[in-house]
Amino acid sequence: MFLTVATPVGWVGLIVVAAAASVGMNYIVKEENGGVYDSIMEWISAL
Amino acid sequence: MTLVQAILSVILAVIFISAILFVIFGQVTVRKLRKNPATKHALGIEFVSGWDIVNVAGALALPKTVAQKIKRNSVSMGLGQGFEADLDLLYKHTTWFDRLLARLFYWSWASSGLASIVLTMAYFLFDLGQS
Repeated sequence: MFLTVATPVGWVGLIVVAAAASVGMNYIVKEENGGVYDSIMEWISAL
Repeated sequence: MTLVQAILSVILAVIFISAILFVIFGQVTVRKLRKNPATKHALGIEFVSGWDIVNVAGALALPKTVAQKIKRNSVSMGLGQGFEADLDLLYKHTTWFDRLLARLFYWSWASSGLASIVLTMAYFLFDLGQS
């Protein structure tokens, strides 16, 4: 924890990790939302 | 809908709720604390704009006795005072409703954030995608 916020390398690491997590989550949401959309549309048309 | 998609939908729904609670808590509680000269400088570090809202919510999120016990043993990541919000001052200047909002916001924010990090790591480590 101390090394993360007390050193420049730690700050850069924090930014890199945040960027990687953001890109990863964006990828997952884009890949997987089709299935969620399909099941919502199926549910609506079954009503 | 696959299991990953079901879990993802729940996480995104909680993120959406916590985003709304973030704005409400920021406007109701933290705006009041920012205006108050007594608490103005006790809201912790602002990593990004609005991060003091998270600091305040985090300080108020645990039951008072537990939070004070942790605070006594904490050295604020080894950097001394100023990184975290001041617990005792916040308790003096907040109502039970502020604390309720803080708890609702903080736990929805922290749990959805942690869950999305775990899901992202598991997704790529264990190749959970379709196709």
